[in-house]
Amino acid sequence: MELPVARIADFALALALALCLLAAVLAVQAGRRHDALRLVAARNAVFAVAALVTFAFAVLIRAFVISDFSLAYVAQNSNLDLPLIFKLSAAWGAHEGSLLMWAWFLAVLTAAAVALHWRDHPLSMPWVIATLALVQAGFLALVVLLSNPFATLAPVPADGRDLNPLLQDLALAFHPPMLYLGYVGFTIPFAFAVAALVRLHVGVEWVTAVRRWTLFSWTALTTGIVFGGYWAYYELGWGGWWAWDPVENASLMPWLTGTALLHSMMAQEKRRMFRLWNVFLVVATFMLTLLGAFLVRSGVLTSVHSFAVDPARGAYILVFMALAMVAGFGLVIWRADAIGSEAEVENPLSREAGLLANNVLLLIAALIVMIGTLFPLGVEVLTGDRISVAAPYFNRVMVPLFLVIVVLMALGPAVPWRGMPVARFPRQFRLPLGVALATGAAVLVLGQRDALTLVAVIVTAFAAAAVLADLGRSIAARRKVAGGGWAAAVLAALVQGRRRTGGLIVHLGIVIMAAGMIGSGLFQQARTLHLAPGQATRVHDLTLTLRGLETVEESNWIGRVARFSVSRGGEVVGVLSPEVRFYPVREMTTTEVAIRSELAGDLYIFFGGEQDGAIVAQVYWNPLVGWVWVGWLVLIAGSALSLTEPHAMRRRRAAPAAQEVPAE
Amino acid sequence: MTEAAPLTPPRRRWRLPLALGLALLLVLLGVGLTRDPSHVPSALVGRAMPAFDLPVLGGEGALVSAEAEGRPLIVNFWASWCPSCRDEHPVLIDLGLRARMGGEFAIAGVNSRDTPANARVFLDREGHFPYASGMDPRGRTGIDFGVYGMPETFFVDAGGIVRARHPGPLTPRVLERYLPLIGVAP
Repeated sequence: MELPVARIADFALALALALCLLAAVLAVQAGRRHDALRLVAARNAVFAVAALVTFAFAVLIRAFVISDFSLAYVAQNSNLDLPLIFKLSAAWGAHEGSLLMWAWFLAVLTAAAVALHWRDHPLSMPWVIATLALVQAGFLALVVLLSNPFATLAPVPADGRDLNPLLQDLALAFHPPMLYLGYVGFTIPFAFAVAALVRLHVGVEWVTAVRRWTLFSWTALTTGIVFGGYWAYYELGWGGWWAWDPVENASLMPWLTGTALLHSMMAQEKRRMFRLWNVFLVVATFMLTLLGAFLVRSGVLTSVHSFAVDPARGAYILVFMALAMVAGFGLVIWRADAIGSEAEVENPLSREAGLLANNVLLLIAALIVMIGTLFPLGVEVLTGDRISVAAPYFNRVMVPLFLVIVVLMALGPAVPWRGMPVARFPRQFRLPLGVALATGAAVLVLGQRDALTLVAVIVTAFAAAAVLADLGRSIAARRKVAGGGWAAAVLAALVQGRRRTGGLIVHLGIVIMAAGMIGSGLFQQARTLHLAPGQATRVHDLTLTLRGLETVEESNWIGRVARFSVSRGGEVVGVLSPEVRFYPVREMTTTEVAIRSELAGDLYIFFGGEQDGAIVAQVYWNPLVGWVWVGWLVLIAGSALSLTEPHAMRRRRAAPAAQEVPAE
Repeated sequence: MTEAAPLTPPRRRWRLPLALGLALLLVLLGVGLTRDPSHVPSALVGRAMPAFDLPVLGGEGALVSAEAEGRPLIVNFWASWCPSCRDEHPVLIDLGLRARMGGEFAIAGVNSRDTPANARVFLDREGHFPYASGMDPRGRTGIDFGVYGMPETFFVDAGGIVRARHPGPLTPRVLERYLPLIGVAP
C-alpha cells in the first residue's frame, strides 16, 4: 500500500501553504518595525516551504516511477508499459502535476533568491520575502484546494490510462519545465520591484540585483518556447513550428516584455533612466506569466494545449491574477509621482534612444499579440459568435514589426550612450549595408519578387553583418590595447567583456534564428503525394522512392511505417521512415513525421494514411529550418556567458554608497 | 531617502487609461469564464441520438437505445477511473430515483472503457444507480457520441433528438439548465 507517503506529501503541501502565509505576515511585520528576528523567522519559513514542496514533488515523481495507480493523477496519465522517461515527464504532463512543478520551481527559486541576496539587500528583504511568499501561497492554495495531484482513487485500477500519446516525446518532456522555469523566474524581479516601490528606493540597486534573474528567466523562457516549437514541428505534423496558437501567444507575451525589460534595465544601470518604465515592465511581465497560466488552465480559449477544464480553477486564477494586478499595478500607479528619471534622452542617435525605440516596439508587439489572442473571446462575449484569429493576421502585422526590431538590434550596440555625431553614423554601417545590398541583389537575381521576402532577407543580412562587425570591432579594440595575437584578444573579449560579448552573441543567435524563420516561413515547398511502393518523386533536389510498408509493434503502440529512400544525383543519401502509430490504451492515433536535416533545409514527410495499396503523404522542403535550433544554441551560449559575469560584486565596489545598511 | 528629486515634474496622464485597460481585461476574462468554454458546441446537438445496444453491467440482457423511444432520455457516460464521476454520483442517484418514481423520463448509464469488476467495486462503495448501465469497454459508443472527457452527459428529447451535452460532472445547476430543453421540469 503506497497510501501513507502520498498522504504525508498531501499534508506537506498544506503545511507549506500555512508557512507561506506565516512568512508573509512575519516579513511584513519585520519590514514595518525593522524587526530582525521576525525577518529571520520569515526566511526560515521560506526555506522550510522549499523543503516541503520539494518533498511533495519527489513523492509525485516516485508515484509515477513505481506506477502507483492509487493516485488518480497517476492512473490518468501513466501506464505500466510507458517507457520510464515518459513516466517521469507524465508527472508534469497534465494540470495537477504541472502546477505542482510550478510551485516547486517557485519554492526553490524563492529560497535561492532569499539566500543569495540576504546580505546585499537587508532592507528590501522583508518585502521581497512577503511578495514571494504571497505568490507562492496563491499557487499552493490552488494545488491544495482545487487540483490536488495526491487525490486517491478506489478501486485501484490494474493499469493506468496512459499519457496522451502526443506528449510522449522528448522535446515535450523538457518543454514545460523550461517554460515554467522562465515564467516562475520572473517572479523574483517582480518581488524586488515591489520591495523597491514599497521602500521608494527605485534606484539602481534593485536593477543590479535582478538583472541576472531576468536574463536567466528570459533564457529559460526562450528555451521553453523553442522546445515547444520543435515539438510542434515534428510531432504535430503541421510542417511548421509556430501557429499563433493562443497558448503559444501566452508564452510569447512575457517573452516580448521580458526582452524589453532586459534592455531597458541597462539604461537604468548605466544612465539612471527609465526607472518607472522598468518597474512597469517587471510588473507587466509577471502579470503576463499569470495571464499565461490563466489562459492555459481556464480554457477560455480553445487551443492545442488545453488542460482538463474546470471553471473553478479558472475563476480562482482570475481572482488571484486580479489581486496581483491590483497590488502590482496599484503600487506603480500610487508611487509614480515619487519616481523620476535622473536623465533624459538627449540625442536621437544614442544608445538610450535606441533602447527606448526597442522598448516601444516590443511593447507594441506584445499588445498586438494580446489583442489578437483575446479578440475571439471579446467577439464571443459581445456577439456570441465563435471566430478565430488566424496566422495570416499575426504574420502580416508581426513580421514587419519584428523586422524593424531586428534592424534596431543591429544598430543599437554600435551606437554609444549619450549620442554620436550624425556624420559618423552611416560610416559605422558601411560594411553591413554593403552586405545587405549584395544579398538583396543576389535574391533578386535568383528571381524573388515578393517585397516582404526581399526586405526580410536584406534586413537579416544587414543584422548578421552588423552583429559580426560589432564582435569584430570589440575583439580588434582589445588586440590594439593589449597587443598580442588575435586568439588572446578573442579570449579577452570573452572573459573581460562578458556582458557585451555575451549580448552580441545572443543577438547573433537571434539573427540566425531569424534567418531560419524567414527561410522556412517564406520559402517552404509543400506537396501531397499518392505513391505506390516502388514509385518515386522529386522534392527540391532530392528524389524520394517508396520502398515499402511495414508494421511494427512496441510496448504501448502499434505502428505502420512507410520506408522511403532519399537520393540526390543518383546516390542514396538516406532512408526516411514516417509512421502512423496507434495507442490502444487511449485509442488514439498519432503520426510520427520523418525528417532529414541538412544545413540547407529539412526534408519533412508526414504519413497521412493508406488508400488501396498506395500511401498518401505530405512532403515539405523547409529551407534553413535547422538554423532556428542552431540559433537557439548560440543564444544559450551568449546568455550563459553574460550570466557568468560576477556582476553584483563589481557593482558594489564601484558604487560604495549602496544606501542599504544591515538590519541589525 | 536619498532619491534625487525628479528633474521635470512628471506628468502621469497614463494612469487612468492603464487602470481602465486592466479593469477591462479582467472583466473580459471574467465574462469569458462564464461562457462555458469547454462547450465546443457538440456536433450531435440538434441531431438524432446515435443508437446503441450494450450488455447490461452486472445483469442480464441488453441496454437498447430504442427502449426509451417516446420519452426524454438522459445518457450518462461514467467510469470507475474517473474522479469527477464521484462528484456527480449523488446527483445521478437522485435523478435516477426521480426517473423511476415518475417515469416522465428515462436515464441510462454507459460504463465506458472500464472493467466490470472495477465498476462493481465503484458502485458498491458509491451506491448503485437506480437504473441500468451498459458496458462499453472499448469506448465504441463513446466515439459514436463524440465523448472526449469523462464524465459526459447527453440530454435527448422525446423525439430522439440530442438537445444538449454536458462535459464534466452534473450539478443541480446544470440540470436546471438542461432538463427544460428536453421537456422535463427541473
